[in-house]
Amino acid sequence: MTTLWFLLVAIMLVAYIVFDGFDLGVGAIYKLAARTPEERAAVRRSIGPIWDANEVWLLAAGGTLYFAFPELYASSFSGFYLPLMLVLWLLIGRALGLELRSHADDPLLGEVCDTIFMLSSLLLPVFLGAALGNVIRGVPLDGDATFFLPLWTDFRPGPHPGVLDWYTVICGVVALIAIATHGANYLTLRTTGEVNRRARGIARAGSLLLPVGTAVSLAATIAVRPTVLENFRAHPAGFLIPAAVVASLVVMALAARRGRERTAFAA
Amino acid sequence: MMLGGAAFALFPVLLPSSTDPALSLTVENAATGSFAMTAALRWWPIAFVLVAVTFVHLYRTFRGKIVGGGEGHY
Repeated sequence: MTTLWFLLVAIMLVAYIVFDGFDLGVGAIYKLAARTPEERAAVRRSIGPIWDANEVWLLAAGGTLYFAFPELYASSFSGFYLPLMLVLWLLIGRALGLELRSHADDPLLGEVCDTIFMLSSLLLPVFLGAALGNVIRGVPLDGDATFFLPLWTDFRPGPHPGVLDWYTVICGVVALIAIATHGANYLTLRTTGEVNRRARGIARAGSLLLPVGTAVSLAATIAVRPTVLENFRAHPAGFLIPAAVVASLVVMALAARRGRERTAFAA
Repeated sequence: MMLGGAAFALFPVLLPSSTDPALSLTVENAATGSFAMTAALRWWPIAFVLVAVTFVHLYRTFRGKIVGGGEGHY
């Protein structure tokens, strides 16, 4: 029963990354892909009506986590207090930048909204990736299941790590590359003209960078936490997951080169 | 999928402890009561179907290429 709930929470988190991932990615490449006011409006309209629906998955995953594993929720929310506050502000900044944009008649105010929207969309995947890195690396839990992490200490994943160390920063950067590529693939699907051409270029660059990033983060993970391989050794069927990762990276790179937008986005 | 791989690798540990592996939070020691889990298992599929229907409707409504720009709320 507990295993089933573990699986359900994992599925909901994956759904969050897949769905909100592309609108985060669109935000992260917003000013790169769209230069003129018309182009920017088109990009905003591509995610405007759906971005908040996608965030439902984050709420659902958080709620279910709280319900199924209350002790984990309590422990990690107090331990990760500082980064969670930052994530909260980034989520707020993104929402405000996007939703208040159309009420800003002044070009300067519009530019401020655009900048906040892009900046928070850039930083969110970095923090989400770093969060995953923290969970893989481990945190200094004591006997009553509490811990506290400063934002950084000496940037080494030793016994007294900070939220950011070299390993979690790698995770964050790889997450940003993945999310930005995902967003670029989405934009090539939904836009025309110059924006489409630029998004295609970003998607192609991302599909080449991402395998490198994935390999680096995999090597770093094994170095930081060698026990991650134990479950794969015990249950060889688990190798299907990394095999699927490799397959989708290859499909994405090929599809991006040949201009097959739908295939690239699905991968 | 990378996230799925990480989840598979960590299981049954939810939050590993770097001070002592024995202090890690696992699916067993952090779980809620079994009654709550069974009850929620009946509600979860209902909510899931609702969300799935909403998503299908939403993405059907907003599919296709964006043409032009400027008009509308965004």
